[in-house]
Amino acid sequence: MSALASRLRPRPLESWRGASSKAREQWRLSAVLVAPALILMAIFVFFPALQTIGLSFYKWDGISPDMGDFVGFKTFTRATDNYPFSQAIKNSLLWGVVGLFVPTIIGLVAAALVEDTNLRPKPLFRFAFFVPYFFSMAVAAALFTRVYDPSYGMINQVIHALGFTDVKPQWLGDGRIAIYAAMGVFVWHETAFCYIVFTAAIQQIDRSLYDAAKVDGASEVQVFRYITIPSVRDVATFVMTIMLIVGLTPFAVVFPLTTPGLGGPYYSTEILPTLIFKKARMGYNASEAAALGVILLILVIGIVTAFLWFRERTAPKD
Amino acid sequence: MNSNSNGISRRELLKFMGVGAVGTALGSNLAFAQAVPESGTFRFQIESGPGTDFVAVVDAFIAEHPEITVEFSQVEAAVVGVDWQRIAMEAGAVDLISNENPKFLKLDPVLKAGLIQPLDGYRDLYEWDEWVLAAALRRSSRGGQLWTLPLYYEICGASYRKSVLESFDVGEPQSWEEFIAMLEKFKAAGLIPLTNGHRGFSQIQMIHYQFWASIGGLSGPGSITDVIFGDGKFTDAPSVEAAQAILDIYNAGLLDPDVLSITQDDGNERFISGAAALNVTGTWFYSEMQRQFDDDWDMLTMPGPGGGPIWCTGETEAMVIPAAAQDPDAAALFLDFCVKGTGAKILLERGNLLATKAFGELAIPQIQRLPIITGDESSLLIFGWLPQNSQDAYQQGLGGILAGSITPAQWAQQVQDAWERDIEDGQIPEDRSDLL
Repeated sequence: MSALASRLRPRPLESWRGASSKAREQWRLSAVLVAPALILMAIFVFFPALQTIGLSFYKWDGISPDMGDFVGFKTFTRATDNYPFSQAIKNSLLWGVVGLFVPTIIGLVAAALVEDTNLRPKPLFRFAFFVPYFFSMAVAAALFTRVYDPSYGMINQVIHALGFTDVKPQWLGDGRIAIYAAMGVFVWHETAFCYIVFTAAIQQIDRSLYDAAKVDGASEVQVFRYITIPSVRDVATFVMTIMLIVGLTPFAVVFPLTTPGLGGPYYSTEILPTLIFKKARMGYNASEAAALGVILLILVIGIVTAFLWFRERTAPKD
Repeated sequence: MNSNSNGISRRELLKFMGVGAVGTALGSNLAFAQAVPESGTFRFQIESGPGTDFVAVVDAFIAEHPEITVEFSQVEAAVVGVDWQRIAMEAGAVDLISNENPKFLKLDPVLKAGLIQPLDGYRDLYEWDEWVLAAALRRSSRGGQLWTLPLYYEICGASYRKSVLESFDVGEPQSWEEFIAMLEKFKAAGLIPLTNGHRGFSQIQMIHYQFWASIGGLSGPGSITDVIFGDGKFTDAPSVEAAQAILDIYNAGLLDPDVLSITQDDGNERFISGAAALNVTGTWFYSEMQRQFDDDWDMLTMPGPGGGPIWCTGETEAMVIPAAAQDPDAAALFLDFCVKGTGAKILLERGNLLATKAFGELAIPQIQRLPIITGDESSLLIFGWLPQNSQDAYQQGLGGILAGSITPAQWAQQVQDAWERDIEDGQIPEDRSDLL
């Protein structure tokens, strides 16, 4: 079992009756310390989540004083029986896969390159790789609307300067590439997060392992494969979990970049969060938005649980 | 179905009118009298954008009515969404709030929810029928009562520089052929003939309105009016032909090739910089053009295949008084200030097309020639009449046509399906004839 999983495994509670006074004191202290967070979570997360689940079974417009009629699963049928929804599911899954692997792999490789090689000056590279994270995701996306401008944007200007004067990709206007353009912003931004976490993890690895490997004649690739990767496995699980969740809900990128309404052109960048936003905020379909929210919740919990189960199953045995 | 003439059931109507009355009673300390206030506090919220006009209007109101205390704030409604409206209205946090337009997307939901109060008492008190255009009052009424007061009209078209048209020796096109010939001249000179931004808010739809109005006429089968208020369908020939016409000019290189990638702001920049000859926009852009070009600008409406130029107009900046307003009398006084007082004058001087007859002679020439002022008939500006499902299908689909994802006929069918679904969901009254 991995060290992380071992740490995360819940320990059996000591019986209150049989516990020592010191243990009871510790328990009380723990409860006091955890209570504020739990109360806030209950108010701002658990209760709204339960309310959303309840709302998804009613027909409510979002502004009427009463909740409307109980319609059971009809709201789910209405919300899912259309092209935008199927497109949103497809795109959300694609985002999840990209989020899971691409920033994680780039971030890990970049961190290893900076920390495990003779690349100099290290502080400059660390700064350069982390710079994207200084911006919020939404700001980064807003910046990239300029970068992607077909006539005046930096990318097409470079393509033009390289002599490809007839090539003028419509990064955000071509339904075939718009989603990848949006993913590019996501990867640019989130790689910075992955990079800094992996950098911290790599710096914790016992350097004598590297020295021993070098004495044994291991190449840098072999050092990366057999020392770095196994050593950061637990951190990688954490990073990949976060990236998976963020990747399944990249609203902050899609909102500023794509349209009309959201999710265009022609639903090519539609994701579940944009559909939810449109139903709830641009129209009066609160119940359908709630139903889509429930679907998104199930999707995220399901996929993340499956991922963690897979990581657990494939963890090297001690 | 037990319904009144606009399709809302009598029970529902009575329910929300009752909620409105109770809210008014509670909110205004049981003061039912609708009178010119001698003092009071007026809390006014408007979404940002045209709100900049209202800063000057509010300042003038304060100067003229020192007996009224004003609390004014601008909110970005597009970001905070409908929740903001609901919470602000329900909590009695505002006395007057902008509800964008008196159409199915905006007015009917807040009306059904019982969040607003009727304005008929103020309509009589301030004699708004003499000042506000009849069509604006009619569109703002449901069940025989006035629920909102639109202050502006908006008209969409293609803005141009007069000097540019003169240099090409062309005038405003009166037919499709003339329009195409004009665009081709611009193209030959290396200009973007017609710029437009689809990213953001899909101004392509404005081209579609204009072509559709031109092909389908002002009323009768095939017209926009027939679809929105009658039995017409989005799949009717003029609607599909209009969509096909957009595709044709796009394929011919007469519409900005970047249309799907750029926003309306980008289009405006291209027009202002002189890179584009025509820019699809509307009266909301007038004050900016006046600022940029002094008098060297105007706007035309684009004829579609087989038709002449027909303007598309719509009511906007519609103000509602929440049922729970604390001081509705002060709010109504401000409304009247914008209908026939100095507020109207300020709004007009800034290039807005008002829904009132006041100070019409002060309007800039570009406004004087528009149908609301001239009295000529015009077609509908569709935005706002489509609830979210239909609007999404409409906007996304027009981009899909240009991107080659769907055909105009497929687009029309998708919009029609979404429209019927919105009717089924109760977001559009089944009988809409009294709004004509």
